[in-house]
Amino acid sequence: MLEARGLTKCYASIPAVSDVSFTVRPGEILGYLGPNGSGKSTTVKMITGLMEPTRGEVLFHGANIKHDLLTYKKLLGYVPEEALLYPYLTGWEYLEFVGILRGMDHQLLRKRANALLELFLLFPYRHATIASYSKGMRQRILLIAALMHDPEVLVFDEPLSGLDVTSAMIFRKLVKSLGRQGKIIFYCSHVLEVVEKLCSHLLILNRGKLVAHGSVNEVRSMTGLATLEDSFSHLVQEQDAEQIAHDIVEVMGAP
Amino acid sequence: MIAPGKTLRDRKELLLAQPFWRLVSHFGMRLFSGTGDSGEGGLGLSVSAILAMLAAPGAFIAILLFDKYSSLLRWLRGNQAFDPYAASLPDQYFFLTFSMVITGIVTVLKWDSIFPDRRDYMNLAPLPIATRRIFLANITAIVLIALAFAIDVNCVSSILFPLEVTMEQPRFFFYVQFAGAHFVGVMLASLFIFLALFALIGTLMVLLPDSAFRRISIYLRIFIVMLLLGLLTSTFAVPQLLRTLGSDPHSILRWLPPVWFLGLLRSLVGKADAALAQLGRLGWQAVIGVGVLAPAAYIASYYRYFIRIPETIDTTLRNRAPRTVLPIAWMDQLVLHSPFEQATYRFTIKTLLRSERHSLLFGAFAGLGLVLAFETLASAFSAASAPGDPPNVELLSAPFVLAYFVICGLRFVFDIPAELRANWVHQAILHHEQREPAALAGKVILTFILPWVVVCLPLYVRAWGWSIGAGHVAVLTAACSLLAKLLLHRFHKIPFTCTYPTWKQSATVMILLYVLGFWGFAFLLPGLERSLIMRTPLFLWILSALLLLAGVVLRRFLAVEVVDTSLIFEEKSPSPFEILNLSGR
Repeated sequence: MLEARGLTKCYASIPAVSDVSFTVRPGEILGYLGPNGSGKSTTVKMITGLMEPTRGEVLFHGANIKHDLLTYKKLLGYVPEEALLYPYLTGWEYLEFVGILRGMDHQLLRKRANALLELFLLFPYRHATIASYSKGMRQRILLIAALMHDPEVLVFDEPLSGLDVTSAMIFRKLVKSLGRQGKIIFYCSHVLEVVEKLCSHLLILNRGKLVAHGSVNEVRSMTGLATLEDSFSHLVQEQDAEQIAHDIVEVMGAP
Repeated sequence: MIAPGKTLRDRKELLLAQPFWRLVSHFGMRLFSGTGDSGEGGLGLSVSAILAMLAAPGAFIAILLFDKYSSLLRWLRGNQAFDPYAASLPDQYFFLTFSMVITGIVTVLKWDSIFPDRRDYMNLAPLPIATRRIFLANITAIVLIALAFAIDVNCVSSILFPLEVTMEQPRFFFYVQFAGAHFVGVMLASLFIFLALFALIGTLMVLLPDSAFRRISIYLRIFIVMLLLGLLTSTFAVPQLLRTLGSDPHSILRWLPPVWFLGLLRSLVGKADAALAQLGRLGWQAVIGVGVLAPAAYIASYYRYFIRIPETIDTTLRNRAPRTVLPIAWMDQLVLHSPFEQATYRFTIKTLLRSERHSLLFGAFAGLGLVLAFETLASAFSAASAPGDPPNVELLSAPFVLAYFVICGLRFVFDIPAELRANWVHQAILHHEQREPAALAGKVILTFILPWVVVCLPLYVRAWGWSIGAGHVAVLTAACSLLAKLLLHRFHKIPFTCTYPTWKQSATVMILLYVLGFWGFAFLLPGLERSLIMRTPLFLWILSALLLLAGVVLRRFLAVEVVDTSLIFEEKSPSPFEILNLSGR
């Protein structure tokens, strides 16, 4: 079980995330939603152990992750928001690099990496440098690197970014299957439809604070609105989207 | 445990299967590879090519020195009284300086890759590796590569040069002693400059806020490159001045690190006088000093910088109103005539000033120009002249030297791509048959020339009067314009947006042309100027008019032979076969 208790992160005494608490049990997929700058990425960095919270703690199976961060990282698979990869390595070399640093057995690494490269349709391009990869290909390499050591906890930060329709569909089904397998999944995204279909629970953040927490139905009934999109707009948007769109069209046509 | 009978490749694979050595290899690879997302940061040279390029000059110079030390050649020249140990002093100084300059420049160029960056953090921090292991792997890679570079730069000269100096000695021991001392000296000199720069980066990272460090980093690097190039040019003058070292306890030579290592090296072979021996001890102390300071600064900066990368990602959104020193609105009206020129001029200037790779390369060119211009000025002022004498050639040639390097430097960096994947915007908007890129590039070049030429005008007028001062500035401006036109012949691209040109095929000819061009532009032309001033300063205006006319004629003449004027975004190598179409069909 992954648990966040009163997570708070301040930059120069300005809170980016304030008193966020949640629990993700094995088999659960927690959707993490929020507008830009709401503190989503900061939360992700804290639960992946990349950043220490100013206050609060992240517990894995009841123990604070900072007490044995390396063991926690061994059980963690993380797909970051931005596909920052080493452009001079080939796809295969990158996976080999990550696998060795994770301490994977070489035979197992080779077997799994090749199989995943096949399944993610990258096997024919495994010896091309990442510099020549498209955004979607880079994203798929990141997904393979996060999955190949069979982690217990999976943290996805905008994992569909750059994926084509087929790959995105495969990925959505994959996340469902991983959930059924008992993995702990933390899914951070802007795409409301995907979160609505995939996640068993939702957490909505606005300006670093938790504004809604519960199942999709619970969030909808909390706001009394029919769709998740309407509920999300109601909870986090301070501007009238319709009015802004209208204003933009006016500006475009203005002399 | 590695079993006997394993091949070198097997041993390497076994070693790299260990996480620590894999990390070391990774950090080593980073230093040779581009850091850009598209892999464009490097020049696409393999490790062996880089090592060969670095080793070549030392080897080449060592070979050239056979002429000086060969007993047969000396006998043929009738030069019998020759002490090779005494004669080797300037050459030792050169090798020491060369070793320091090459190591220093490589360190400055790879400044950003020395420390793990945001990309490393995002890839390595989520993995189960302790931060101290990442730190140790990085420092191991840096030390190994620094040693490899130092050995590579000095290996051939450390074998050949001592062989030349000791070839007449009766015992092999003298060769071993001289070669050993030479090797220790050049290696310590390399190590010193590497550690000193390393300590400087670390200290600045500890003392300055991240944003301030990034802002000053580029200027500091250009300044260091200038200092190093200045040091290299000192190799012609310093050895002659070393004779005065003993008699002058406050000599400025005592502040030059290559002199410390020369003292150290000469002490090791027992050929140092008292002053050099004292400076040799200073060399040892300097190596020990930076040896202590560099790791301390590195540890402090590592823990301050690397650990805080995720926080800086979230807090470094800079939103500062743009500042410009160029009167851009005025230029739009008077100089930049079309929307293409207005947009591309802004793009070119901003890329040049903000892209670290481009500004560093241009800074190196301008720095070398500045160093040589100062040296030319120094020799001009050291020459005796009476009040009322016309300006000597050196004085006239100093701005030409600087201008030549600025113009050639800009022309060189225009060919280096910035971010090829962003070129779609030019391709999507611009017309294929855009005919103005060369004119635009010329205007960018003149932006970097005219301001300081105008600033120099009052100085010249004050020193030489209106007729000579203004005439000299007119000749300089016209010559710069002509040179820019020549260098921009067949320039059909927007600066920084085209793939690397195929330099390899014509590199030797190009270098030769640039050297000849330098001689003609920076020495022949000022010489002609002086002879014209001796007759009447009015001729300077005629010369500048002729140069401008030459530019116009050249443009017309060259325009005839250029058939395809389309804008290019990809350099294609010339075809090895060409159809001459002699039938005309």
